[in-house]
Amino acid sequence: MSVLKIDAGKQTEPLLKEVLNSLDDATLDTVGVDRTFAPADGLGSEPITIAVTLTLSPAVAIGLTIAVRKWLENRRQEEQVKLLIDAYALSDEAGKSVERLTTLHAGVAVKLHDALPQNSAEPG
Amino acid sequence: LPAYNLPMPLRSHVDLCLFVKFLYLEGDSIPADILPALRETEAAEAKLQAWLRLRQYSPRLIFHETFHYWQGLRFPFFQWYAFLAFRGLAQAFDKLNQSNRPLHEWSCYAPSLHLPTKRIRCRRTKAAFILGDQTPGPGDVVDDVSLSAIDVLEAATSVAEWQVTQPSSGATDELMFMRWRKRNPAYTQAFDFLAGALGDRRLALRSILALVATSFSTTNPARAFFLLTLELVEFFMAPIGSRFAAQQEPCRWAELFDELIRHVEFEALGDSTANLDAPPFCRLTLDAWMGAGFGNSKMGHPVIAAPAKEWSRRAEEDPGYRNVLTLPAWTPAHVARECGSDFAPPVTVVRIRISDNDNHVFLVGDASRSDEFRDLLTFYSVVRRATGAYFDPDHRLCHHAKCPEFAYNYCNSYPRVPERYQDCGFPRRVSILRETLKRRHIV
Repeated sequence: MSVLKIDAGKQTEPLLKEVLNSLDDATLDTVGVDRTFAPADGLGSEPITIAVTLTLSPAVAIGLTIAVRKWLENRRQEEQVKLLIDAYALSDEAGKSVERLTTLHAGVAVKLHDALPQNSAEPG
Repeated sequence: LPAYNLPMPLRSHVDLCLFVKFLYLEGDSIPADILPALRETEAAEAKLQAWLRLRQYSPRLIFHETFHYWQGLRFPFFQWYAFLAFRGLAQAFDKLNQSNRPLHEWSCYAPSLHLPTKRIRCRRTKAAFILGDQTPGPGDVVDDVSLSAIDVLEAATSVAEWQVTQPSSGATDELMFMRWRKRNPAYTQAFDFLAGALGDRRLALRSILALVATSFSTTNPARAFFLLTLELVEFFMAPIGSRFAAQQEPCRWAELFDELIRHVEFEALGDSTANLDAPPFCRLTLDAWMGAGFGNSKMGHPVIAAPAKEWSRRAEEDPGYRNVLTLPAWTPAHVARECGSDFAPPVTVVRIRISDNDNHVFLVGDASRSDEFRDLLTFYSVVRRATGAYFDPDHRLCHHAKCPEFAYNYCNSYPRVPERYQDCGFPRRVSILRETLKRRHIV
C-alpha cells in the first residue's frame, strides 16, 4: 500500500470531496481515509477537516492524482490555494504523476518518501 | 491577544454553556439567487424566507448543530453543567465588573468551565479495560484511546447525522456507514473504540446513541462511556445478550443501558454535586437540574431550561418523544416535524462571509428580535473572551479591522455588524450592562 498525506488548509475538504467522488464504492472500500480535524475547544462543533491521510494502492493513487489535477485546473481562476502532499511508498509511475502536480500550480509542493510513515491508516 | 487567523475555516458550533447556535457560511457557497435577499433586505419576512431556502442547501450542518441543541435539552449532564457553568460565567462577569478595571483588561481563568474537554484514557486489553494511568501488562494493549465528553458527544452526533439520511432499514448498515464517513467529515473515534470492543461494527452502530445518552446521565460522560462499553461487552457474552442482539430494530437500547448502568460503581449519591472543578462520579437526572434556579429566584438556564421541561412533558404523553436522540431513524414523522419546529434553538446567529473584509450577520429564531437576548449575547461575548472558556480565538462575527474593539475581540459574539463599525453599539451596550449589573448583583 501507499500513503498520501494531503494538507490544503480550509480547502482540504472540498478537494477531498472531489477526489473521493471520483471513486466508485468498490474502489472506495479499498482506500483508508483518516481526516485531521481542527480542535473543537469546548464547543459542539461541525468537524472541520484541515488535513487528510489516504492509504491506497499505487494504481488508485494515480487515479486520485488525476482528480487532484482536475480540481486544481478548475480552481485556477479562483483564490490561491496551497497544497502540500507527502507521498509514501508510491510506485515510480504514481510518484511521477504526483510530482507533475507541481508543474500545474505554483501553490503545490510535493515530497516523496520511500518508506511508509508510522501509524498509517488501514483501509476499512 | 489571539490572532485573527483567516486562512483557518471557522466552525459552526453550539457552545455547551449558553446553547446558542452559531452558523458560519461561506458566501460563495450560497446560491446567487438567495444571497442578495439575505444581505440586502431588512424586511424580516423576506429574510426569513431566504433563510428557509438557504437551509435546504446545508441540511447536514443544520441537523448537526440542532442535534447538539436537543442533546442540551435531553441530557442531564448538560442541564447540570450548563446551569452551573452559566452561573460561573455570571459570577466571573460580576467579579470583573466589581473590580472597575477597563474592559480590555478583563481576564481570568475558570478551570471548572473546561470539564467537557477533559480527556480520560482507556487502554483495552484482551481481558480488561484500564482507565487512567494504571499500568497494563506488557504487550496486552489492543486499543489505547483518550476521550473527552465532547468526543463522545460528537461521535453520537455524527452517527445520528448519518442515520437520519438513511431509510430505517439501512440505518445500521455498517458498509454504508463506512462509505459515508469516508466521503464526509465525521467524528468517529469513540465509535471506533466501541466497535473494536464489541468486535462488531453493526452492533456498535445500533447501540452507540443510547450508550452515549446514558453516559450523559452522569457527571463524567467519557468515563461512563468506557464503563458502559465494558458492561455491554459482558452483556453480549451472556445468552440473554445474544437474544437481545438477534432482535430487529428498533430495540429498547435506552432501557437496556438504564439497567446496565446499575452495575457501574459511583463515588457519590445521584445529583449530589454542584462542583464543576472536580465533581465526584455520580448519576444526574433531568428532573433535578432542569428546574434549578439562580440564587433565590426561580430563573433557570436562560436557553435550555424551559424547552427541556416542555420536551419532558410531551415525552410523558407521547412515547415517540422519548427516543429521538437514541433511535432517530425510527422517530415517528409527527415527532420529527414537531421537534424541528417547536424545539428549534430560540436564536441562531448566522454569519455569512462574503470576503475577508465583509461579513453579513443576522439572527434567526423565535427570540431573534428580543432585546434581552441581545444583552445576553453581549454579556456572553465579553465573559467568553475574558475567561477563555468556550472561546475559539478564531471566533468573531465582525470584519471591521479598523475598529478599536477589533483586536481585543470582546465583541466576538455581539450580533450586530453594521456597515460602519461606529454604528454597532457594542461599547454602549456593554456600559449599560455593566452599570445595570453593578447595581444589582445578579448572583
